[in-house]
Amino acid sequence: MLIGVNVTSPDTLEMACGLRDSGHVDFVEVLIDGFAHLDPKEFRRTVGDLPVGCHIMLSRFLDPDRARLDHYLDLVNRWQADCGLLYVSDHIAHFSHNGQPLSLAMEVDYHAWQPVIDSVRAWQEELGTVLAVENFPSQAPSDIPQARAYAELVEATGCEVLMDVSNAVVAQLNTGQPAAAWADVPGVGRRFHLAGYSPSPTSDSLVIDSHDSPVSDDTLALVATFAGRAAPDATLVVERDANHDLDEWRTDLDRTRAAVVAARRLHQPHRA
Amino acid sequence: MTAPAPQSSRLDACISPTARDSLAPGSRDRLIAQESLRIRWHQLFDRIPRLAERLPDTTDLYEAFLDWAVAAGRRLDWRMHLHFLEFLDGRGIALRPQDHVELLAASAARWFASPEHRHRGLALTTGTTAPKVVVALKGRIPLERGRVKLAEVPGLDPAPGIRWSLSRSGDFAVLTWSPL
Repeated sequence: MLIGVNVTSPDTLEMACGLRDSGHVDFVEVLIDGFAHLDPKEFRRTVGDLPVGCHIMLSRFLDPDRARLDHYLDLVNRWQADCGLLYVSDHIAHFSHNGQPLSLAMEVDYHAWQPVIDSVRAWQEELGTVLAVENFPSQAPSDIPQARAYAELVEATGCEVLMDVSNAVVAQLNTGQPAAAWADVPGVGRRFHLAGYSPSPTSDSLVIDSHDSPVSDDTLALVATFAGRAAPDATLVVERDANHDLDEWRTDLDRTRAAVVAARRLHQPHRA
Repeated sequence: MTAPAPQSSRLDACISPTARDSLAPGSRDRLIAQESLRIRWHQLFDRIPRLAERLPDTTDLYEAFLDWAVAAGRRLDWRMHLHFLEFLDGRGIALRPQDHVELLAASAARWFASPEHRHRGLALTTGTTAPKVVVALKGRIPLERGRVKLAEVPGLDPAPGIRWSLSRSGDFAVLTWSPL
């Protein structure tokens, strides 16, 4: 399993290069939205031979706008050509409502799932690659389990699940839906994320996927479950999007790698 | 347990304090809406600390601003601080030139994270700041950080309203102003 970090800005790219030099990461995942103004060849020169995965935040393919989708298609194609992307991943969520951006992505309604399936199929076909779609850090209970909905999605479209392990833990804390249920979902096994989470200042009963704190023990325990079944070419990103403390990030990477190794996967050598 | 509100009502409540208040007190939906509005409060005020300190009550003003933005169809993307300036002007709240600069700089900083533009440069101005403009420049190479600065543009006459201009290369060889 390749273990990497996400890069969203020049600052995080600089940190990622440091983590590459210290042998802590095997690849980087670029949030392509944040680098749209740059030539991907420059990015390749910066990261050297480090493999690159691609994460999309705001294609909003559930709410399709032709010009916006064309923008992202062109971006992905250029980055694919110049950086050789390991994978392309995106989100199933509401990012805007009635034209107004939401400050916090909102979960879709699994009672109205068929349009989502149709949208994933269409977006994946346009991208021309197997799309990895990320599970959502649910905030409220639903009588349709998210894992069941994603199983249906994978069966219908052939997409993969970008299994965000800490999102599943957050969802369990917020809704009671068991995180371990994801282990049996088809399409889970090649793409993984994890990050820290924290209780909302609004109320302790609401846990937020904050990406600003160390990875929890519950998350690492679940990583071991998934890592034991993961594909040989699987990837796992340890994400940070706020409070970028390099020592904490490095520690999270060490703990994650140890959890993966402990799951009796192939030995995970650090890069030379 | 309170039954979940319809999806459209839940989403309305994440952008409008009035819609939030229509949800059942103590419900999960209302808690999530409040969390969304809390995050947006930080998106707005964390970047304008000097102005926020001078405003008498940011909570009431903030909620009025959000309801105004929804009613007036103002999109709170990277232009959120520009619309806040517009809103404050409309309420007759006296703003100093440095408040204009702080608001324009906040908007420029949010523009860095905007995914919709491949342009490297953004210039922003109001009648108060002219002939100076706030300029935002994304890095030329991946490791180069974005910069925001106040610069003078010879020949830029003061004009009412908030204006912005994008530059593909960031050299601003031609400034084509768009009104907000």
